[in-house]
Amino acid sequence: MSVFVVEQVSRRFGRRSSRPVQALDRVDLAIEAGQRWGVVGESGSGKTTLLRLLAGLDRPSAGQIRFQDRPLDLADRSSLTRLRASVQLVFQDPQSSLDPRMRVGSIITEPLRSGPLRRSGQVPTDVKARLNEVLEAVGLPQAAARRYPHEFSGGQRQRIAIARALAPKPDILLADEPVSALDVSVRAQVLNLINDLVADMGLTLVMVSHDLTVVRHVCDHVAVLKAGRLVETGPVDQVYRRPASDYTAALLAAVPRLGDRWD
Amino acid sequence: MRRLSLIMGLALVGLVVAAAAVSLVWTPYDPNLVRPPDRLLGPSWSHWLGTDRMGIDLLSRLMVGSRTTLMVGVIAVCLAIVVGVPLGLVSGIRRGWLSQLLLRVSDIMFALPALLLAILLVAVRGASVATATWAIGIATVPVFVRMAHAATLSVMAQDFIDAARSCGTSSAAIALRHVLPNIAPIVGVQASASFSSAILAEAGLSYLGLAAPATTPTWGRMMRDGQVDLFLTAWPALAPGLAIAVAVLGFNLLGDGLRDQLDPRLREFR
Repeated sequence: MSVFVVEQVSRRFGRRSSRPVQALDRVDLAIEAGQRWGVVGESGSGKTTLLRLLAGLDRPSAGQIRFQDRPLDLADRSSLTRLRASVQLVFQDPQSSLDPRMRVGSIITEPLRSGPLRRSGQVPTDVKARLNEVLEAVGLPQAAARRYPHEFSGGQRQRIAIARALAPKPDILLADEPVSALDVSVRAQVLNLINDLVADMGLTLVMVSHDLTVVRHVCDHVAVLKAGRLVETGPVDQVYRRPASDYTAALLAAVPRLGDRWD
Repeated sequence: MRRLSLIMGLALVGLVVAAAAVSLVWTPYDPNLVRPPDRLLGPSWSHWLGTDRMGIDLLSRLMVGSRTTLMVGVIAVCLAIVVGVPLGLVSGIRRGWLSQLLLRVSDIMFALPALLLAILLVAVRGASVATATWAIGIATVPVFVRMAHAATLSVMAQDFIDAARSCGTSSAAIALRHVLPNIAPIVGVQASASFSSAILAEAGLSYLGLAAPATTPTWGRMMRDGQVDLFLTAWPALAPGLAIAVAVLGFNLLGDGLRDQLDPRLREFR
């Protein structure tokens, strides 16, 4: 079953009077359940815009997104609730994605206390038990729930953000550069955590990254964006070994590595 | 340093509040008792701050006057917060033409001096402490609208707002659960700063004779009465002037100190 089908989607920013920015330009993409997609491209290529469209935080200027084989309509409450109940997000900067005035426990359980999700009946109802489950899943002690985000390191904060995303038992995890704001030393830990959790829970993953090694490490499919256009899609192995477009080849050539082949 | 401004602010505000509280049950002399033989005395053991041209004890009158000062400040600032913060909050969350209109109206009110508004209101309703309080409160509303609006915009730009939206949290819940707690310290600091402006405004209005009638002791009124005898003795004008300065400084310092206390990120480094 297709989770997301993106059909000829464009997103333009700016008013008619000023020069508009074409963040996405007629993008087609089909994401099947259980796949792990990496969306790569340089800064300003529209990666985050695409992710925000999938998360229902923004709507396309043109084209259509189908979610679980039905058109996604943000104005339609039931369509939106279906999306909200099964799609969760992890943001780039865990400094900004956690409310500094909330305790970690309230942050993580916020999706469980959201009205539409509770009424949808698709999220766990035992909030306390679920909190402890996800804290354990991301490797944080239960005592963390009573503390504030600023008491944690960047890596731990990202674990909190991941715990929040997992709390309502989503089917799809969207991650926007989940490790690029972290120290190199903790990147691998957080990536491995995402890897393990996605595998254990059978999640569909869409991860935006400008780091091709990260995508290689986590994903099985890759989509390459350039200036809002999709230049290449396909399985990671195929794209990394024999890039079909010059742009992808250039991106791959720019990655510093020890050997000279992607093995 | 942060601690210092909080302590100084609390001490000065505490002094004013204590004076007002004590005046409810006790003052050294009757604040309205006219005793011509004791007129224009300097500070002494029997009259700590001296007496005015009617022989009324200045300390007693200052203590009673602090009640009006605090009352006007509290009511005016509360009025401004209750009206201004929700308007700023809503206009920051729902950005539409109505919000724009609201902000432009605030700008226009900003451009209008508070004193002018007060004089206008007094002309319509007559001079009284209540009218002055209304005028000061209304003139302070746009301060809170703009401040709450700007603070809300910066909170709304944070990722945790998108995180809340992406799990279906309603706008109302976002406003109450995320935005309000995050802008509360700024509102608190602004409240303290506006409190001191309100005290100054009330003193100014009383000084001009636009607030309290002559029988009600207020600090501004006392300055007005005291300046007549400025060449004989400075005390009747100086004492209320110092009282105003102490209250204004106290609330400003308190605002600064509170801001640092209310921020959990700074609490650690106390």
